[in-house]
Amino acid sequence: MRPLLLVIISLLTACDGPDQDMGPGRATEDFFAGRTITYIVATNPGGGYDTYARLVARYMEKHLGGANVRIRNVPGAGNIVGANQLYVSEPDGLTIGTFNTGLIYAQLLRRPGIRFDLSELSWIGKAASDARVLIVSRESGLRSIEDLLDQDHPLLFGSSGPGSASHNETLFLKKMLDLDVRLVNGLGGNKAQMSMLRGEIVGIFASYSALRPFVESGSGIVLLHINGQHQFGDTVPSAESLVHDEAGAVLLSLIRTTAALGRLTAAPPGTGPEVLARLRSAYAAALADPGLLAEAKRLRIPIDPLIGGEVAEMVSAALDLTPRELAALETVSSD
Amino acid sequence: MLDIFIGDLSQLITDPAHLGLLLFAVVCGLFFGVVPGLGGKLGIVIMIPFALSMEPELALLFLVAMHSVVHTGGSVPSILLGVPGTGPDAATAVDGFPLARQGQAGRALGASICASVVGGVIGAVFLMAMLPVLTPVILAFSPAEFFLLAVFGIVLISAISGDSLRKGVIVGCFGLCLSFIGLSPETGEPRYTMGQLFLWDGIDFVTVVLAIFAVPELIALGVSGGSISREQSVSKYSPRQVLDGMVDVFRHRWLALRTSLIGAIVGLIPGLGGDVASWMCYGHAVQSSRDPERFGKGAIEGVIAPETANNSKEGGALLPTLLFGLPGSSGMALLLGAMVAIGVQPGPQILVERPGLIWTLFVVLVLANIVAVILLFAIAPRLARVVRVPAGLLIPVVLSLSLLGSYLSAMNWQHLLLFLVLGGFGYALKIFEWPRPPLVIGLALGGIAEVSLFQALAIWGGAFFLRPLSLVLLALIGATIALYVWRRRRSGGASYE
Repeated sequence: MRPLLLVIISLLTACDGPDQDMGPGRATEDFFAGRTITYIVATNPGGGYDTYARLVARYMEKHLGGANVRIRNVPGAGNIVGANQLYVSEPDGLTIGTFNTGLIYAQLLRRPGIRFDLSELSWIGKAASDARVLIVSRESGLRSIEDLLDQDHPLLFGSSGPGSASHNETLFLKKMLDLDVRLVNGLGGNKAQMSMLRGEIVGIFASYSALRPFVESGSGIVLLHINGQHQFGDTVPSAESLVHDEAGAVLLSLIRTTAALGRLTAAPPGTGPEVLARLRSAYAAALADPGLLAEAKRLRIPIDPLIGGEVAEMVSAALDLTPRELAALETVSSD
Repeated sequence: MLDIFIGDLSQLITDPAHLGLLLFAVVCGLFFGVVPGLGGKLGIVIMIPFALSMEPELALLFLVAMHSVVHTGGSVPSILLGVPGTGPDAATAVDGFPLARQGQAGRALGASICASVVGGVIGAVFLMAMLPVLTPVILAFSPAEFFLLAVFGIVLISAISGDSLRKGVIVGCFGLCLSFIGLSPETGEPRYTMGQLFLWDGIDFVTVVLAIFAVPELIALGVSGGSISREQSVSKYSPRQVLDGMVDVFRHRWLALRTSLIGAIVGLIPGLGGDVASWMCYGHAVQSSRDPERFGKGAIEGVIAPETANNSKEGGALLPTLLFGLPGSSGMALLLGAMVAIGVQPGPQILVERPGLIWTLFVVLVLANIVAVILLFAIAPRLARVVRVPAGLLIPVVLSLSLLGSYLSAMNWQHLLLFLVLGGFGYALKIFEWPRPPLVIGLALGGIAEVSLFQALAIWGGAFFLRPLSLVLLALIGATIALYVWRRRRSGGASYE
């Protein structure tokens, strides 16, 4: 029974809240020593966010002088439940969290159930960025973005489903480039790849890291990228070169920001500046740790960190749309 | 090729470190299967850091061996307590638990263990046999076929798990209605969620399975008192009884072979989900039986069919995961992530670059299943004694484990309330003699049916069911209904469950 008990105890204790209150006048250097930080992950165990969080947590422990960083999975409602929970947690530095960057769209589009304001969170940093790519199947016969733009009949594209970040971004792209595509819901990620192999849908617009094996196996062709200069150089055109109107530029800027802000981590609003600075420095040190970088390389997950203030500025900029831009965004997303 | 196979086999058998690791993996897999709600997926999440500390080949050996025997362990609480460890184990409880109540727990365990190893080995052989024709088989199944397979599953279970098709269909439709709770796949808007965020992701499947199967049995046990087994003779729980159960699998060898193959094929199709395999095979066992009225009351075939499928689907599911990087289930998705982490890049090139790997996995699948059967055979008579534990002691323990399983799966406290409500509903179904399996299968397949129907309509329009494989499935659905009607007429409307 002992292994059973150990697993049960470790899983249940993951639900505990902070074990001590913060003393306001204490030096932050030893504030975290022996304390437990709860790291809320707004998804189920096992996904990309969970993987990043568990990796970062172990190295933050190392750089926080004896703190214990404990993962707590709070899945639900497309990351909204976990983000809500982080937002209302005590701003004592003992609760931090990570969630899907697509919640920027959710907040802009006023999705029901949201009880948070991302611009008020105390941002610690982000761990990665991920290019967005427009990919078509080899069987489609399309070889360039011009081929796609020249089509005289609607083409089927895959989508994870309405409300998802990839669905919104595909609609943005459709509007930006005036593409004649129809979306088939429920065909994101691996299912989209299968569907392309079966010749049902022509392509998909999504994060490159998820589709990379599909492209490398020769089954998919990248026609366009956003934020993919590093991977593609000049071999694949970027969306910037094709967007010329103001409305398109707003949409493009939104996609660029969310693509750059991968794997965000934040603390609740109102976290004290000293504690926040300590969390940020530990987060930065963790993401620069050779051990973490080696593990990330082995896991084939990209690391491209940005710390604190810059992340806060980017999130605020993305959320700061004029009423006219917001109305346009809502129109595009309800397509 | 044969020399690679023999090399891998001899290395595994002769190296004590490899064998020790395999043994440890099997013990872990059985443990994650036995505890309700843990399952193979959580097992991989918990054990990945441990696996990452090993050599790549050993890490893969460990994870595949562990994952492949989870359902062998999952059958233990299904049979002894009526508490399925995970969704796919629920089908085993339908006949396994009545057998335990009749004092035949050892026999049911023996049959389940042996069926698991037979399924596991056939699944592994299937993995090797399908390699040359894998691509066309996988690509033959599109959203149109997924929709019709889901409809077939619901019709099959409705037709075989009650004394009337009407009751089965009503309960199945209730399960379908439960599957509609959550975000609409077409509009993304919350649907029937009553303003509750925890319902946005739908009702948790493990919670429903535990509530519908475990709670009614616990209430019934509390009402009747005593212990699970109505037979009190200690001599009933002997290795001999377990051996009898094992022999039962060979008495029903053709059924075991067919259900192993069905399980492996379902596992092969990415996106259909493991829950379907065991229920489809249970349905097939009832439908192909000469006296289907025994099912639900303790038919040994009702244990053999789902258990073979549960283990054979692992072999099938490894194929698209390894060769296309397309996992068929969330457990396989995690295994895929672990493969990448330990340096094994899935894709068709794997056959050229690492031909030995496929053989190693084949050997691991076979050996892990055999080691699991030996371990469980050794402890089955002791495990079976749990059915003689007094109700007053057993109910709080099992109820706590079931609640824990629900919490671990759903990760929110609201599902615990839902667990109690659905448990009461399950008890009502039990005492009024309405079938419970259609509810579970309706919930499991409702989501697939809805999404696939919309996809098929978007891709092909209304004529999607005219595809050749779709017509075959339509014929199967028609045949299932026709067989039901014919049997009812032949038996003069006599009831069976």
